[in-house]
Amino acid sequence: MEEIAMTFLPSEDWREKYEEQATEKMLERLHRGARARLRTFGRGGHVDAADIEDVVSGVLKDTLTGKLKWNPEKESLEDNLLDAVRFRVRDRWQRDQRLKHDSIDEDEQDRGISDQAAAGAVVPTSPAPNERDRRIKVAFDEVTAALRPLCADKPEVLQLLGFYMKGITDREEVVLEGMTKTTYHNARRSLGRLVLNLPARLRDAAIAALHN
Amino acid sequence: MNDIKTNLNALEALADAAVEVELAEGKPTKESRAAAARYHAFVSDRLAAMRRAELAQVGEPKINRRPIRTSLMEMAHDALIAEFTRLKQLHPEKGFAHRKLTEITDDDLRTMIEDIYWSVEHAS
Repeated sequence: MEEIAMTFLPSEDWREKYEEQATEKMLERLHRGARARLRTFGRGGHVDAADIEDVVSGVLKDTLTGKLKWNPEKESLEDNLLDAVRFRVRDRWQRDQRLKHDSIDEDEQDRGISDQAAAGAVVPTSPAPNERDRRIKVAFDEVTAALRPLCADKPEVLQLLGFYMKGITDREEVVLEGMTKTTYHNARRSLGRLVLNLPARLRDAAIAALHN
Repeated sequence: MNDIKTNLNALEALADAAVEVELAEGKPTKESRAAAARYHAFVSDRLAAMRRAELAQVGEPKINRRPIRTSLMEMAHDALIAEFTRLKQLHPEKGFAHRKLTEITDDDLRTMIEDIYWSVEHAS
């Protein structure tokens, strides 16, 4: 892991709590949590060990340089780091999509402009279609398409997936829709197992859609 | 909420569920254990660096050497032991740690006694 400059010097109490909670056991769980999250979002058709370590060591570094705040009185270090991994994976994924979108836009725009200019036309100023949004939709459609048949004999899981597809993702919102807390808990767990155990072929097919 | 945000949130909700199951039911692997050891080494190094930085901020302790009074310098070994024993009985609250006085040099005994004099004289 890279060397980092020493400017952040938290209290001894903070450091003691960090050391006490940053056990190998907790860090191992953090690694698996990051792996499961990256698998769902997918990067490059498979989860590279280097990507997982990049995400985890990034959040560790951020807490130890003060870039990411941790208040030991308010939450455990594990919860704080798992949340940080959540945001980092999402940001990273969005950034990747944006980069792909930008490069496609530039290519398409360059090609379009040169073709039209060559034909003597007035060069249009309208933007290219939003490739990033299309990719997000494709990724989502592929994952849900892979999950749906696996939920066929589990109506409550199918129902929860349906809520997610409608944008109802918070527990409170799902309960407001009429699902009991226990059913929600069990359905969510089943859905989580299905995502984790999506056959590699299906998962890769969904992920490949992001890169084609 | 637009469709894209809905889709992204749904993907994230699926990832949340997967992570929860992994943490509740998953098992450590050789790869995850090895990674954890690397993270732990990084954290330990960083915390140790913080301790060193803190010590560097505090700086070296300043020690002012006090001269040992002449009366002590003139005492021989037995007289020093007797004086130390007297002070120990006189000031039990000082909590003297040394027991095996035979293994202490005369110079160290003089320093110890001088320190006791100083602490008694400056106790308020």
